[in-house]
Amino acid sequence: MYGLLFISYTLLAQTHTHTTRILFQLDGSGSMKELWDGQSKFNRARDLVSHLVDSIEKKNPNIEFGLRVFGHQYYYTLNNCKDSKLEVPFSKNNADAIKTALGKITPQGNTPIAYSLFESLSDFPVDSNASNAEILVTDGVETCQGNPCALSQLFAKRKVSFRPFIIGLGIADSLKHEYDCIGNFFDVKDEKVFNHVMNVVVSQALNNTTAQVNLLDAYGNPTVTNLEMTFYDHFSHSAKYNFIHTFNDKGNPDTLHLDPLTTYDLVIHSFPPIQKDTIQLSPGSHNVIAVDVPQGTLSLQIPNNKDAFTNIQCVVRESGSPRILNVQDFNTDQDYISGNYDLEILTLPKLELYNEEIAPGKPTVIKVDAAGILNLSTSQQGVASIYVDHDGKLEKIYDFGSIKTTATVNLQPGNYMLIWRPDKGKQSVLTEKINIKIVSNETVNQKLD
Amino acid sequence: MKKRIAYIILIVLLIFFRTAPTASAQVTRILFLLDLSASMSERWSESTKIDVARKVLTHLADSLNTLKNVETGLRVFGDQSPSNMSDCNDTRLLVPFQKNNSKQIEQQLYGIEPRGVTPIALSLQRTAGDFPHDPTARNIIILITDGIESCGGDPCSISLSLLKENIILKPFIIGMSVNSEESKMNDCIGNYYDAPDADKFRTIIRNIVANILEPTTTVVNLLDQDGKPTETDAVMTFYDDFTDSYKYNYYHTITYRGVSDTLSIDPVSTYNLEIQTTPPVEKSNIHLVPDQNNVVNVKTPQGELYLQLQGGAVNNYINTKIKCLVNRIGEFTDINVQSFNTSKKYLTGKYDLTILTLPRTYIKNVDISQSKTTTIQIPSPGMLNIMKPYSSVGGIFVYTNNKLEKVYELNADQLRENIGLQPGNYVLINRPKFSKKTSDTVVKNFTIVSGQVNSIKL
Repeated sequence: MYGLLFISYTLLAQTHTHTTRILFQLDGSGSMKELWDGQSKFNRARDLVSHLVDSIEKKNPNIEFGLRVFGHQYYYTLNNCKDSKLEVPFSKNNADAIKTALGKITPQGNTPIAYSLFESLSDFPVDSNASNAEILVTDGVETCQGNPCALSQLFAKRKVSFRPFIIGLGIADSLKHEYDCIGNFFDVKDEKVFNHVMNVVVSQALNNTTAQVNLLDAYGNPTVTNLEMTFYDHFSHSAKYNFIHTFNDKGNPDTLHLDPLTTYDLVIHSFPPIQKDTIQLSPGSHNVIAVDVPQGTLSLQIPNNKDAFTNIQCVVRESGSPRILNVQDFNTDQDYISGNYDLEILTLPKLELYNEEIAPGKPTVIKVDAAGILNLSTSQQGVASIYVDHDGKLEKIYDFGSIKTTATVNLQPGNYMLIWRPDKGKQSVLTEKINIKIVSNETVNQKLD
Repeated sequence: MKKRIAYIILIVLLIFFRTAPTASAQVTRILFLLDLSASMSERWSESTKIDVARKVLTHLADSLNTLKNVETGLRVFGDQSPSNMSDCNDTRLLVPFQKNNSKQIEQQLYGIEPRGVTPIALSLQRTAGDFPHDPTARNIIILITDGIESCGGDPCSISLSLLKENIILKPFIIGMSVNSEESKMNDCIGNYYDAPDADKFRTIIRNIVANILEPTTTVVNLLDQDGKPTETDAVMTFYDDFTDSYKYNYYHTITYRGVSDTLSIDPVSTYNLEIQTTPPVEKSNIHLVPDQNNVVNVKTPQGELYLQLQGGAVNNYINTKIKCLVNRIGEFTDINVQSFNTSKKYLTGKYDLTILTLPRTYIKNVDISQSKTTTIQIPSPGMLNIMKPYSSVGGIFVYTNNKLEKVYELNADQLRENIGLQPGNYVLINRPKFSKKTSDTVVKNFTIVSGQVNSIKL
């Protein structure tokens, strides 16, 4: 009868660097006394769990079990809706304790499933490295007005990620959805299926669940790597794992060990980030998560820039979006998700490039001339500003405001009009227009008198 | 002919008197600077050049003397030494500024004869001392010459410096068909008047004097929030509506009298005026009424935005790199990029600031109000110094609303990086670039304190 189970347990022999915890939660309500092929449902479950903990513990001494039972302490006519008890808390080597506890239980009471699930949350020690699993076995529906679905919303609100395996023993079809929303629900009709499902569930809970993330380039090949990725808990929204995507020795995306009981939102920290929501891993197997990250390179260059400290910045936005995606320094390369971008280059005057395409393959190269320097000096205080003459239309590109003695500004090569007026004399007619020609890497010293 | 001149002057005077009360306090000083170089004795328009000039100037001085608040003076050059002596210092003030000195001017005009060279630049330079020191006066030189500088001086630069001393030069060239290429005066002074014959000369000089006394003037008032003309020091660009090109650029100035300075704008064109504030303010379709004072009011209420980094700088380069994009509230394009520890003027209103710190700092709804300085302070960044024994990939992240946001991507090619970061808590995620194992990913929390260095060795 248990032959199937033993085969899959061979997988368990591998050492786990982290602790695995399984909480068995059994329905001890009166209806579990119902006979199933000559034996009560409760006894079926009791025998199965007893056998399982025994054999698993022998193979894997690092495992910790816990046992919670509900509806077993008070007779159902007492309507005790808080009848739930952690009979055996988590610890290593407690299979015997679990067997002993199970032997003492007689089903008799209510079915406070939602309450009991809620209580079971605090049975798990706080340990972010552990793999936690809960297996709940029940034959009926909530009898205490608790709502497992509402409970799942409460968990989401409290930012707890919790998806128990729920094994239903002959539950009416119309009630199944009550369990679907809180966990992985398995319906079993008879004893044989019960054994099989229990086997699958336990092996899923125990086996290493692995995953690999394939970051696909524009051609659908998993060639992209070295990007940071964050696995968020879909329900609690907290970051559970941070990795940098890596190729292993064979040049394939490296294998990751992820807790299979959590539903994930995966964010690849490209520019802009790419998010893939609601990733559910199939426990006990290798999962491939593919994300399209088609990237191109934006190469910003100032050829022949003599003064490294006159480096300039480029504000990068997705086309049409007011949101700044990145501020990239010149003389650097940066990858972006391929697409169209608006570039605002903070030279003087500002250079704006709209709908610049960053395509996969060849880098998009933007070259900007090295700036020149305009030094102004005056023996008398005055006001000055710089303009570009667009066919008779003046555009102010820099306002010095008041200059007392000197002022300096970096300007892109080109022709400018400097408008200056000394304060002394207090006359508009003293306004002077000076044509300035700026050459890359050169300084213009202009005296204002 | 005489009658006609008198008639014209009469008209000039009538116009002047009509508006005299408004100009009563300001003295106008007109210095006649007369060329007495040898060529002035040449015949011109049925007479000689010098005689035409004598007659016109005598009459002008006579008429001007009757006006309140107008003083005249006379300087000549080239009358003392003959031209073959090339005396380039030959310039003298014959009649200094005074009231009622037209008789003296007349006597002097008829007591001198043209003989010498043309030291225009030097003469102009000397005129600066002819005008009494009086910052409120209008000082005008009327230069009458028939030739170009013959002493190697540069009248252009002199006239420019005179302008700065509040002296306006009105040059007249008579009896010469000067083409503009020959006469550099044209380029540098702008308005010069070429009189081909005596009749034209009389008419033009009279019109000019009339204009000096009763010109088309324009006053632009830059109004503050309360409608008072207190704003100033912005460039006013007058675009010709027809050509769509700028014709005048003047810095708005409040004079010693505390009022907006009067501009001389040609009333022939229709103008679109752009006040070069940040952002600029435009007023289109301005028609000036000739021979009157035109008042143009433009609302340019302004306040200042002062951006300040608080605390000591850990690295000057990092601090000077921090730029602030300034947007009108709700608008996408930034109207200015302002550096920190500077103050700039903006039109009053609400602005959104995007400060290019790491991570970026967003300050919304900043109010710039009339004549006030709005100070925005952010803490001076700290610095993360990362030392990498080997090439590493990864980035620096912050938690915003529980989400990790990439603030900075490590430069895999550099083994040492200095990164300016705002004070706060960060997460450094990195991994040796050539590692083959995801588990080599290191996640490290660190804190940045304003003005301090945090060193991390990977």
